[in-house]
Amino acid sequence: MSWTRRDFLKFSAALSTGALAGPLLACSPSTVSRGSIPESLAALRERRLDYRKARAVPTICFGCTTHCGVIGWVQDDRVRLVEGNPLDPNSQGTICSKANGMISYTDYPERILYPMRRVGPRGGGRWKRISWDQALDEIADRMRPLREAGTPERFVFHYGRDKTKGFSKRFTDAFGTPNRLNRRSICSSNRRAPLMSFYGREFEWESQDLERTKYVLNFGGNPMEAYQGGLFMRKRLIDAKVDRGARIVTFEVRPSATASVSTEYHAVAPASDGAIALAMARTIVDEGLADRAFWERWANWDFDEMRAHLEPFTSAFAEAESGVAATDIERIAREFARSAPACCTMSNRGSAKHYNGVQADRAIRMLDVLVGNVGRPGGFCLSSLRMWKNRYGQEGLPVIDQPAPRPHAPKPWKPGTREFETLPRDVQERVRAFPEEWQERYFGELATPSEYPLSWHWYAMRVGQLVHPYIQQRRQEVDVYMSYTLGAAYGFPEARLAREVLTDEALIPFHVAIDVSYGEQAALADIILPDATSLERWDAHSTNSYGLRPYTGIRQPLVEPLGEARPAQIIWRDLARRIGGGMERYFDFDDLEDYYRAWYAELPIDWETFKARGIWMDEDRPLDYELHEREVPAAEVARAEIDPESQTLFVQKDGKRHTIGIVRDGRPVRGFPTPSRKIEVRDETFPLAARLTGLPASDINASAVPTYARVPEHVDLSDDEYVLTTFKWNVHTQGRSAYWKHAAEIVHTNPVMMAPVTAERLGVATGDEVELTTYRPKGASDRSGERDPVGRLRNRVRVVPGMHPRVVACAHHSGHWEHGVVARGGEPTIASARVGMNADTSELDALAREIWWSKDRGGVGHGVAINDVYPINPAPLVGGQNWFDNVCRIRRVSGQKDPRTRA
Amino acid sequence: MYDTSAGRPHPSVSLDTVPPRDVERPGFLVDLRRCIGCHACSVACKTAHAIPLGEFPLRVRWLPRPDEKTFAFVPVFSESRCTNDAESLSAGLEPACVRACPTAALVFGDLADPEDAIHGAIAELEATRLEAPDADDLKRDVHYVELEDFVSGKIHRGAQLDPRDEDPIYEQEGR
Ligand code: SF4
Ligand code: SF4
Repeated sequence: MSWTRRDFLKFSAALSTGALAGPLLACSPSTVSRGSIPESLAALRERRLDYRKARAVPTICFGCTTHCGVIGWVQDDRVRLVEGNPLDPNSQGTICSKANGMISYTDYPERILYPMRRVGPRGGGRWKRISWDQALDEIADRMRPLREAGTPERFVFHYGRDKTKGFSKRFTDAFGTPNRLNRRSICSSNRRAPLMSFYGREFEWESQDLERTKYVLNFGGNPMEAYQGGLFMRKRLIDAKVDRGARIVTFEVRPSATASVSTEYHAVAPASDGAIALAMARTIVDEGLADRAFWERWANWDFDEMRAHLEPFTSAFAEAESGVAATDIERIAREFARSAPACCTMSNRGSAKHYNGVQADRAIRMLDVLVGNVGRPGGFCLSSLRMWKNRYGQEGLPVIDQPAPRPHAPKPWKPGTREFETLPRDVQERVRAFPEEWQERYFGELATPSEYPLSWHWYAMRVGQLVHPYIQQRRQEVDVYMSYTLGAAYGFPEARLAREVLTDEALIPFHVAIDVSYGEQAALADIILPDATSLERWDAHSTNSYGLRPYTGIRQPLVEPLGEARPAQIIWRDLARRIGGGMERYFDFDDLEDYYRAWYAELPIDWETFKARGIWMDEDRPLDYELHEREVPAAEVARAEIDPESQTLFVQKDGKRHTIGIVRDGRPVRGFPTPSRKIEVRDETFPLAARLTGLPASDINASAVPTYARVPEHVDLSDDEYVLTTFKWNVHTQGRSAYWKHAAEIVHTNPVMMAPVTAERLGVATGDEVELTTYRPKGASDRSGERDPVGRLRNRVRVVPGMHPRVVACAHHSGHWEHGVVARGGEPTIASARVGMNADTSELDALAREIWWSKDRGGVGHGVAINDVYPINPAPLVGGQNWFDNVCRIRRVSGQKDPRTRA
Repeated sequence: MYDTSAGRPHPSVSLDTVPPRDVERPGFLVDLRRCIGCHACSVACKTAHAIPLGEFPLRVRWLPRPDEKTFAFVPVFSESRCTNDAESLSAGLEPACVRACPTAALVFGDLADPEDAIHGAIAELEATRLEAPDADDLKRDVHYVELEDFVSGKIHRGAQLDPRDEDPIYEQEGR
């Protein structure tokens, strides 16, 4: 018999009418311990995946920061395949190649399975296996005295990817340290700050309504390959283009996959996005295409003032800056505005990770406000993205919060506190001048660097790349440093400086690393603790939805942790119990599942059903359109006062005004969650921050309104200078995926990509070796202006048509020297570290034999680590790393023969 | 147009009641307008079947376009190594590659079944059947939508790595 698609449809329709007549997928993980190592790959190949016998368990993917709902097939205690969960309204049941990377890292033969303590000097690579009791006792004995002495801030917790949604904060709060650091500035501060400035702290990410859009204006975003939330946009964008004929216009410096599938791709000069966006704004205003009514109702900047400000930003100016023809800029601006409200901008990193990037993103965001597409069908929408606690946009949703009791957060380091007195004099002076609301958010130089107040004005994004230099400069004394899934020693800009600090026992007396694989960071630890992988543990999940309806999901264990690995939550619980002093009372649970069940107590479906579905959403909730036009309930209006001038509704709390809405045309509506309840296109926070940190008012970052100026070091690029940019391939996720075998097989190298004309100018061809020398930035950044080169690297050339001729690009996730045999291109981890891994090396040997790109087998190898030559270059005020600004010189080292003579 | 939700696991559907898919003449349709070169299909296949490194039942090519500034993305099935995912079919599921594709660029069907939706898709999208060396005895028929000339000249070699590949990925040397 032949079972057709149509039959299946009928069949699933029948099932869905009896919704959940019996959740048919088993969902409790097996109780069989996986303490022993699973069967070999050879055996797996023999015993095929049998879908009818395997259990299919929904969970949340951890392959990247997008966090898609997935289903994993588990057979004989091993996850055999990961695919999409159709109940996830964001991913719509789709995945990317990295989802199955979770299997690669869970079953990696060089995964860390046992706690280890170093022997010999730090970084010397000699290790001893120890018991969990030994490890935890030793760490607790190091930490306890800090807390008892009232100096908990000397414990520094630094994470790379922590998606425990507040659990690790429970640990640091209970301990009392504000030094819970991250890598946000490495990633996305420069694109979050502009959005929060416009729309309020609740919206550090937007949710374009791509299911209905007709026109997408993409400034350097690469949702087809990377981009947090990119997966959610893929099918929607392709449907828009192929099924509905929507146009996707992409400005990029290199032919990314997104550029390749766009209807139009313009190779632009790096960091010129702001000029293009402002020229488009000018065209829209000049040609009467702006939605003036929307602007006047919702923007906080006078229309005519705005028009006057745009005067110098002509399309001819933008053409000179970007290389995009003025006629194209004007045409695209018109097409965009005429598609309103079913049009939206998109940008992520490409436009933002520059010296002028915060302002560029503000200029881009302004286009949406100008054409009035904000919150409209097909437009630039905003949908709640944080855990549900009755915040803006979360009205009517169940509260999902960590179970009580919850520890108090540490107290701010206001003038007069003990902590304040530990600060250097110049810092004290700066902080004293801060407005009170900033002083209430100030927690010392690691957590809230005073020179970068906009890294913590909206919330604590931190400036991760300055953590190690600041420790080196002793801006904060450290006794215990705990890194969690962090790759600073490999992946941060000028990573060698991070390594220097991490190696120096005078600066960091004790370093604990919690991770899955033996990476460059763990290699510099004193104790390594094996973390359970995402297929072995619990996490709560919520994020913004491109389906425009809030939803939540649960990550649950599909299998037991391998070896002696333990979920980080259990590690922190057991440490808290050992440290004691009252800290333990926040970790009073035996079973993690009970803890998460309590977290989701308010969900309208029962726990078992939630686990069986993996996702919950109120299907009847209206879509998140125009949240700002929703009426403020009468009961709230009754409790509020009106500010006659701004028309905002506010309540008094702790002697402070909190706005809750705004009166528009006599109607009390929510507005946006900004102080003015309007879209703050004009934001005085920028000049204020500039003034208080000594940034000249003439600096582009000091502007209250979106503006443009060329990146200082790009102003007079000489003929032999190029801009070195970086990116990640679609199969990789920063420095964390080089050891996932199927990802590494596809991309294991990172040649220097350049346009044919660039190669010709340099006299090189694909395969030739070049040397790149990088220099420090010139603006008001860290160590800017220093003349000595930052570093040099040698790498092969790959000529790629479609690159901007001034740009060379090199992916940043290759060339690892740790993370085991796959990441190291066939060379296993040094023997001593393998005491923490599987003692039986037959799987490792088998895998090593398959690595066809290894140099030993005549392959091309595993690429070049490039992050050491990137200068630490935080954008003024916000602190996001300006990854895409670096000026470099390039010299041909060797080639087969002179390329100019080649056919 | 063509449905993509069927033949996939769903948290409220038990496979116990889904009959196996009995396919007489397996056919794939690859809509190159929709492919984004993401490799989800290839990696899902390799994971589900525990395929060794260096072997590719299905491989995704990134081919520099001759006159343009961008890449064409082309999933290529290996005539000898692809098995049409018998395990999935016997469980009533679509092949793992099709289920993994985020943009619905892949369609699978039975060309021998006139009722199968793949016929409609091939006709409606004017898909081109890939010329194959031994066309009489194929284990599957592959149809491409919007197969550019320069592409068809490059993918006849099949899915395995080849030193002549010009893709910027799967970098090889001395192979
Ligand atoms: S985008 Fe890919 S890796 Fe990231 S969460 Fe989704 S499926 Fe996983
Ligand atoms: S999964 Fe789909 S979009 Fe991705 S490479 Fe394969 S066919 Fe193309």
